[in-house]
Amino acid sequence: MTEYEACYIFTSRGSSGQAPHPSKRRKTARLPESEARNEVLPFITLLRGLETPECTKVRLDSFEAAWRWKEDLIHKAFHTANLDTIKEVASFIRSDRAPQSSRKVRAGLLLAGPDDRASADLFESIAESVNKDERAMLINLSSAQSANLKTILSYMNQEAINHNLGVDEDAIIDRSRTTGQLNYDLQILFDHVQDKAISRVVVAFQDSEAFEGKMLAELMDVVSSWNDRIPFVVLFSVATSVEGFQSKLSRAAIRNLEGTEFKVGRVSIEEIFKIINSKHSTLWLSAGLSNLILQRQKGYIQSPYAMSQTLKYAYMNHYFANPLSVVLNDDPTRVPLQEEHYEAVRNLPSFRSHVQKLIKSKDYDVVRGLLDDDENLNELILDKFSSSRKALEGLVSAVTALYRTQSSPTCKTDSAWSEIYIQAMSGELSKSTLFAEILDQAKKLPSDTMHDLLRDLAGMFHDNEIEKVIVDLGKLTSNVDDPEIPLRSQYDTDHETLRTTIVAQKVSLSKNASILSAQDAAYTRIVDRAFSELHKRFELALINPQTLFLNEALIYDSKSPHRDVFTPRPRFAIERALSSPHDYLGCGCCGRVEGGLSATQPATTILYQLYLESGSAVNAADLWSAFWTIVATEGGEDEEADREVL
Amino acid sequence: MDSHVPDDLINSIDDRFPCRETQLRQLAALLRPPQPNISTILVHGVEATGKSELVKAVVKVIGTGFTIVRSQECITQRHLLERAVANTKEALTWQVDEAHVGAVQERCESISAFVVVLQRLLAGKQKFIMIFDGIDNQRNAAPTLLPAIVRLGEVLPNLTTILVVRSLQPHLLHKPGIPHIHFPPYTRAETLSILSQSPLLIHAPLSPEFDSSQDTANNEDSAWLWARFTAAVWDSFGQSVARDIVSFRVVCSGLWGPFIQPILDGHYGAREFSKLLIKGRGLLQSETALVDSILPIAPAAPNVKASKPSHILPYYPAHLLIAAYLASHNPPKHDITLFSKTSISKRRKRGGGTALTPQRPSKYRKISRKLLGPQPFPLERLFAIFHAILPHRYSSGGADIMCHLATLVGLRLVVKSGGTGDILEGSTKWRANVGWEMVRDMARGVAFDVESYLME
Repeated sequence: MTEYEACYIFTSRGSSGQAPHPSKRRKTARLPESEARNEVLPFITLLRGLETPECTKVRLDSFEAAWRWKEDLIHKAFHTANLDTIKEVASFIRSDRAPQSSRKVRAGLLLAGPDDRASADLFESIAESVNKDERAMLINLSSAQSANLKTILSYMNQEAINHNLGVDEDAIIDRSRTTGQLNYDLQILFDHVQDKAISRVVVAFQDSEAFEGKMLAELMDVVSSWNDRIPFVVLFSVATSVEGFQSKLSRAAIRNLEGTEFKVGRVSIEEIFKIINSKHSTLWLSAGLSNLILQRQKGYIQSPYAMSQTLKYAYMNHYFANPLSVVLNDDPTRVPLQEEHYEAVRNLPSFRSHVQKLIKSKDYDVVRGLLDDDENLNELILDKFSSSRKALEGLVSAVTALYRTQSSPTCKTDSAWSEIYIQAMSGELSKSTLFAEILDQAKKLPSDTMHDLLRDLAGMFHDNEIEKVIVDLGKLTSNVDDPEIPLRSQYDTDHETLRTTIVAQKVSLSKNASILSAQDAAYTRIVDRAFSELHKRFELALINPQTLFLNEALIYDSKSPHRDVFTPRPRFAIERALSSPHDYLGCGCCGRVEGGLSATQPATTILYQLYLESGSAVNAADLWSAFWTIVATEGGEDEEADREVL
Repeated sequence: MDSHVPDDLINSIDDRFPCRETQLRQLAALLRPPQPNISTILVHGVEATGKSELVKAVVKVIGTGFTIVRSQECITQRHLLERAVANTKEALTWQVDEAHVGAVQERCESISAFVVVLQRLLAGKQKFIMIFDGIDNQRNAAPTLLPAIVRLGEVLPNLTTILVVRSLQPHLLHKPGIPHIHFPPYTRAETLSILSQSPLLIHAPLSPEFDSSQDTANNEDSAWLWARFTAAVWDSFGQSVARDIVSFRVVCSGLWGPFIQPILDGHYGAREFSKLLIKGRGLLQSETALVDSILPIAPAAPNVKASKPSHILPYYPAHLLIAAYLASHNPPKHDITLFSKTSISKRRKRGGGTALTPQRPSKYRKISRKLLGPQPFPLERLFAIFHAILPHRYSSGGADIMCHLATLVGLRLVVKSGGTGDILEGSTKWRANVGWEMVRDMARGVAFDVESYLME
């Protein structure tokens, strides 16, 4: 489905003749990679089908390259977030600390949050780390397979036996069969544990909330009574809160558990968003779309996985549907731009504003050249494109710098990175109160933290001027009498004293700046210099991205696909399909009927429209006869058949 | 009288089970070998009164073959019976080592099969004791199980069964004349004397290189303080709530740490009990020590509430859950007053009645809705309330709400209650499965005044 087609055309089997018999899947030698690629590209040709296959392939390749980068980063973020938790849990499982009494089962409560994807990943990693140890085993229980106590216990036995099916696998199975033990008897597990000298049996509940509380309590009862013989450790993944989970269990079950809480490191949505838009970006999201995505995450889902999927969809869409995304490449000179591309560029609003600028400066020849000569335009694109990209990179690094400035201790504002980013992308940041506030508050920093801040900012901007300021600051601080006490500038409120005076029986408060020491005054001068420099930097970097040439290719800004894909409206879709089936079926028979009823339409459609016309008070016989009139006019059925049906 | 169990053996048990002398003597008298075999003994008493342990100790001393079957581990009656047979076999092979014992099959699906298997196992054997621990709490037990076990002695003269139960009901056994041994809960003096045998220490035990005299002083001080401390805890908690000895010990050991903290800090000496008590009176006044929790709660800081996430669900799911709670706890007839946006003044029944309010008390006692438990509601009503309590118009599609509802059902915050098997059926009823505290916290998280939408 593309932007040009109103809807998806369903080709039914009947209309296209006999559908080819689905070929049987066979294990054949793998086709050479390039050949397979050339045959079916997942991307369609754009520019009304005039796009060359090379361009399509370039788009596909650059999408894959761009997303691979991001995916790796996101994956790394997820991995590092869970790392500590996994280590903690593993050491908890290994630890030999005996519980208070033999009845008490050691339990680990993992506050994984309601995102089941995240908790599934976490449990996988934990299982991996547990299974590394020969003498430990992990049994994963999920609520779906646990209908009652018997099934859970027999499942536990079975898992335990299957767990390390090693040398004497038959022996165990045979024994349990010959002794005629019931399959839910934990004796089997006990025998197995003794056989293999297993020192830990970890029972993990991945969706503990979904278990029935009563059954969980019963299971804990059984487990705790075996605890003196089988070394159990229980892991619960808690989606809501420990209190909420606890309220499901009976008091006796709670008394049988001795819990340890584990905070699960979570990748915040904010973090994902930052990863996508800051590091090694080739594509940026517009303010409006970012806002839409973040709002939706806040209001509904709050799942970092869903977030990364949403952002991937944005990337995909851009490369899929925007023909100009060919230039989003590491090396735009290599891209074989074609005539249609230039035509498309000439239609861009950013091109128009560029031309208008040229006209204002009376460079008519240049304009003429751009409009007529593709070579000229190509040069402009190559020239302007990298500068636009640099400008966007500068903008994002300015956002990061501002965020870093905000994190200094004197700042009282607490805006998220995404918030600053959205303001910057809409071109409003440099005039916003947030920006002024952050810089004002950062001025109050004492010399030691100021030094760190300036060092970080200088690294972000690669600025020599700020480096010079840092050097001066270093000189100043090294000459201070007491290096332990940092210098303070005049902006610091510590220098101000409140003075109360009583004038005509009214108390008036006045602020008085106390006298600065010579070193403090010198420090104030340095701060002034640094901030005027920073201001200049920020002013330079915080441009309005909408004014950039080729911003249409660099910034992805279309909300409707996201709205359509991520907020499905099944009722609307079904109603639409019922009222105009032709759009969906694409059959030749009812194309000429506009908005009316005809016998060729599917019966459901006819009935639905009749129902809409008549309202809910119609009786079935009337509805039937109306339906019959429509169908019979074309079909030529007689009344007899009608009676028979009735 | 050659197999007479000497009294000093009994006395050795007595040392391990303080305050249980009567029961010990009774048990020993009934089980001692020269006595004629008693088919069944019933041992009853509430939780944590030493029933199972004492029975086990006595049986061990007497020296006949025995086995213990714990009902807690048995999922079905068949499981119990097969376990009993397996245990008996094990005990017998260990004792007499006879070949034919192994040949007897363990399968017994019913009581009658059980009797047959036991007959084969115990044929020609000496006296054998079978202890059923916690048999009154056996899962999936048939009503005939207990009476049948009691009558086992009629068929198997060399078998004694001891039933250990917590609660005694009339007509439990359907057989008169069975000796009952009652284990009463420990009294104050008994509890305190038992606890005084294992005092917790003020200072952690020192390593042997250190001065041993300091160690003994520590021990003496600890024992002195522990005795007074446990008495104080008993007077405030033990009498009323932490009655059984296990939970009492748990409460005591939980409170001990914060109670002796002033000594460790060096504010008070180890013998200044009254000062410590005054300092630590908050511990005995608050109830935190009594609340069971999976995570260890520090009773030291009862006022500092752990900063739990008040906003665990996103905005819309939180509203949906609140709506479910409201739907479950408000009677449907009040919906129009509570949720209708057109009615100008919401009539509340809080305080003050109208002239129409009947003066004399109602015939039926009114029970607060909150105490009645959640009532089922149809899905339509939930969505109507959801839309009513949202501060703005909900414009997104219905698929999202359904998706959230599925998540809530998955988390068992909303559960199905009644209706047909198909959850998509319109007549299916649902019920909120969350407590008031959680809903209140969540409502605060999304800045929603849930109190004003609850009928009282």
